[in-house]
Amino acid sequence: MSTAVVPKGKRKGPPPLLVWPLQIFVAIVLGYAGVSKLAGYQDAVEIFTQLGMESWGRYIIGLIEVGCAVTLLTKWASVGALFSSGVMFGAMLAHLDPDKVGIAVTVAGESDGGLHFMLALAVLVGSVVVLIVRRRELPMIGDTL
Amino acid sequence: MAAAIHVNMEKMAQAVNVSLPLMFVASLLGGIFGHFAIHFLTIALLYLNMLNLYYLFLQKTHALLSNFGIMAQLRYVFESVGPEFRQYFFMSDVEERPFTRVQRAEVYRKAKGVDSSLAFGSQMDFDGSEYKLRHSMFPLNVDQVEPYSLTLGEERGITTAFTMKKPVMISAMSYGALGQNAVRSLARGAKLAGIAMNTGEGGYPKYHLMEGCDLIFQLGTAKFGVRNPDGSLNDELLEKVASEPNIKMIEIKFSQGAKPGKGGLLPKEKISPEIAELRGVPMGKDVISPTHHVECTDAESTVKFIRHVQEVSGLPVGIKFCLGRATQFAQMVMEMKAQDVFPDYMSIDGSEGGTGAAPRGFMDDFGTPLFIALPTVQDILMEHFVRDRLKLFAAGKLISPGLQLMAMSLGADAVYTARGFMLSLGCIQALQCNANTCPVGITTHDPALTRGLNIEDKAQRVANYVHGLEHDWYEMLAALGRKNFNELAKDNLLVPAQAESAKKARQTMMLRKR
Repeated sequence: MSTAVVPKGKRKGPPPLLVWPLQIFVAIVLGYAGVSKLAGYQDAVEIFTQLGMESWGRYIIGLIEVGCAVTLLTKWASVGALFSSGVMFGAMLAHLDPDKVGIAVTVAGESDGGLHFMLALAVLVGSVVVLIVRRRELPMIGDTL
Repeated sequence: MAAAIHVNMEKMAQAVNVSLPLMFVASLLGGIFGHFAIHFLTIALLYLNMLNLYYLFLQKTHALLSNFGIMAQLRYVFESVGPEFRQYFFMSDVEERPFTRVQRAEVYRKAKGVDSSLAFGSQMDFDGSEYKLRHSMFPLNVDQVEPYSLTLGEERGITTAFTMKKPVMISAMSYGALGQNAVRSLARGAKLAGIAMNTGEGGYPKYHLMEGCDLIFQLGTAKFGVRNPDGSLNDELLEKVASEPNIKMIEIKFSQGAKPGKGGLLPKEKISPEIAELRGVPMGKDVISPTHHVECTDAESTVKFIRHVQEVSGLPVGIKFCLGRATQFAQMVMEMKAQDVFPDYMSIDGSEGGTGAAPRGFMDDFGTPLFIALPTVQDILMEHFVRDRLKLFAAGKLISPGLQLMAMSLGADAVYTARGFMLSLGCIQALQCNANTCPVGITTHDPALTRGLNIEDKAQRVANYVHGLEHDWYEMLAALGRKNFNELAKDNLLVPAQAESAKKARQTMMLRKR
C-alpha cells in the first residue's frame, strides 16, 4: 500500500461528463427503435420486408438495438456505442440505396418525409461521438487507441 | 521441421492489410447488388479497416502496430493471456513463482481440511542443493513432544509480557493493502486458531480490531496512525493505541524484505476520508513514507528510539528488518549492549518476502535471503552473548511446516507468514496485488470483487491452515527426536554446500572489517 504504481504517459483522465446526456439521448431513440422492431410495428415490418430480411433480420437488429440502449447507460458504454454505430451505418446503407428503403420511408402508402432517416443519422452521429470519446475504454484494443 | 511450420508473420500481415480493403469493397457490392444481409459483414469489415488504417498510418506509439497493422494485435492478445495460459496449461507443478503449485496445493488442502498426502514420490529434484531436515534415528512418539510456549517481554520482566501458544503469526498486512473482508477473515481466523496477527503499517487497525484477536501493531517509517504532521512519533497517540486491550505488542519496522531500504508513496488518489482518518494523514496530498524513521539515523539513536517506544507503550516491542550489511548489524548489537536496551524480539525478513507493490530491482536484487540472514543474526547475537536477551522471528516464504521448522532450526523462535495465510484465504497467485483487481477479492477494495470473500467461511480456512500446520509440526518434531521446539538446532538441518560457502565468505569479510 505504501507504494503505488502511478500510470504514466498520455493516458488521459475520465471522459467529460458532457457525453452522458448524449448517451441518454442515443439510448432513448435506440431503445424505442429496438422495441418497435421487436414488437412488430408496421413501419419496422415494412422496412424489413423491403430489405428481404423480415422477420429474422428485424428481430436481430431489434435485439442489438435494445442491448446497445442498455449498455450505453452502463460502464460498458464504449461497447454499446461501437455496436449502435455499426447498426446505424447499416441503416445508412439501407436508406441511401433507393432500390432498398430510400431516404423517405413509405408506410401504409404514406411517406414519413425522411423522419426515420433523420433519427438514424442523429443516432449515428451521437454513437460515433460517444465511441470516439470513450474509445480508450474499449476492451482489448482500448489501450492502443 | 521447424521451418516447415514456420509462419512468416510479415507476409501474413501484408496479406491481411491488402485483403481487408478488397474484402470490404466486395462485401459492399454484394450487399448492394445481392442480399442486404451481406452488409452485416460490410460493417464489420468497415470497422476492421478503420482500425487497421489507424494503426498503420495515424498512431505513432506502437511500432509493431505501425509496421504490421491489425495482425500485430494478436501479439498483444497472446501476451496478455500468456500468464494464464502458462499457469493453466504449460507450467509444471514445480515451476511457478513465487510459489509452485505443489507448495500452494499444500496450503489449499490444509485450509480446506482435506488430506494433503502425496503419492509415488516427490516432485522435487534431489541434488544436494536444498535444505533438508535431518530426522533422528530414534524418533519420539508425538505425545512426547511438549506444547509450544513463548513469552515475549519476559527478559525485561514486564507485566504486559505476551505468551504465544503457537509458533506462527500472520505477518504484516495493512488495511489498504488488503480489503476489509480479507482483513476481517484473517483476524477472525487468528482468533479461532489462537494466534497473533500483525496489523501492517496501515494506521489505526480498525478492521483488525473488530474480531478480537491478538494484535501486533506495526510502526512503519511513516508512523501511520501515531504520527505528528512532520512524520515523527506522537507519544500520546502511541499510548492510546497501546492501551487497546487486544494490541499485545508493538513492532518497529525498519525495512521489509521485498524492498529493503525503500520508502514509499501513498498517492493522494488513494487517500479516502477513511484512510486519512486511520492513518492520520491529510487528504488531497501525496504522503511519503520515508526510507527510515526520522528519529533513527545511526545505531545510537536507533537503540534510544527502541527504548523510547518500549517506555511509552509499556508493551513488548520488537523490530523488523531485512538484513543488509552484517557489520552494521553487529555494531547495533554492540550499541544495544552499551545502552543495555534490547528489543523484545527481532523479526528477520528474508529478501524473498512479499509485498503489495515494489520496483522489480528492489524485489529481485536487494537484501539477504532468509536462510543466510537468519544464521548470521543468530551467530552475531551468540558471539555477543545476548541471544537470551530477546526472541527471534523469521519471515520470507515460510508457508509450509517443513520450511517453518527449518527456520526454527536456524535460530528462529517463531515464524511469520503473510502469503501462506493469503493462500489459505483462497489466493490464486494472480500477481495483481498492486492493481485493485485481485480476482479473489483479497487485495482489492472493489465491492464487486470482495463480495466473493465470505468472512465466516474464510476465517475457518485460516484456522484450519493453522491446525494443519500444528499437526505437522508436532509429527515432524517427533521425527526429529526433539521434545521441545527450543531444542531445534542447526544439526537438524542438512545445509547445502553453497550456503556453507556463502557463510565462509561472510566470515572472511567480517574478519577483514574488524
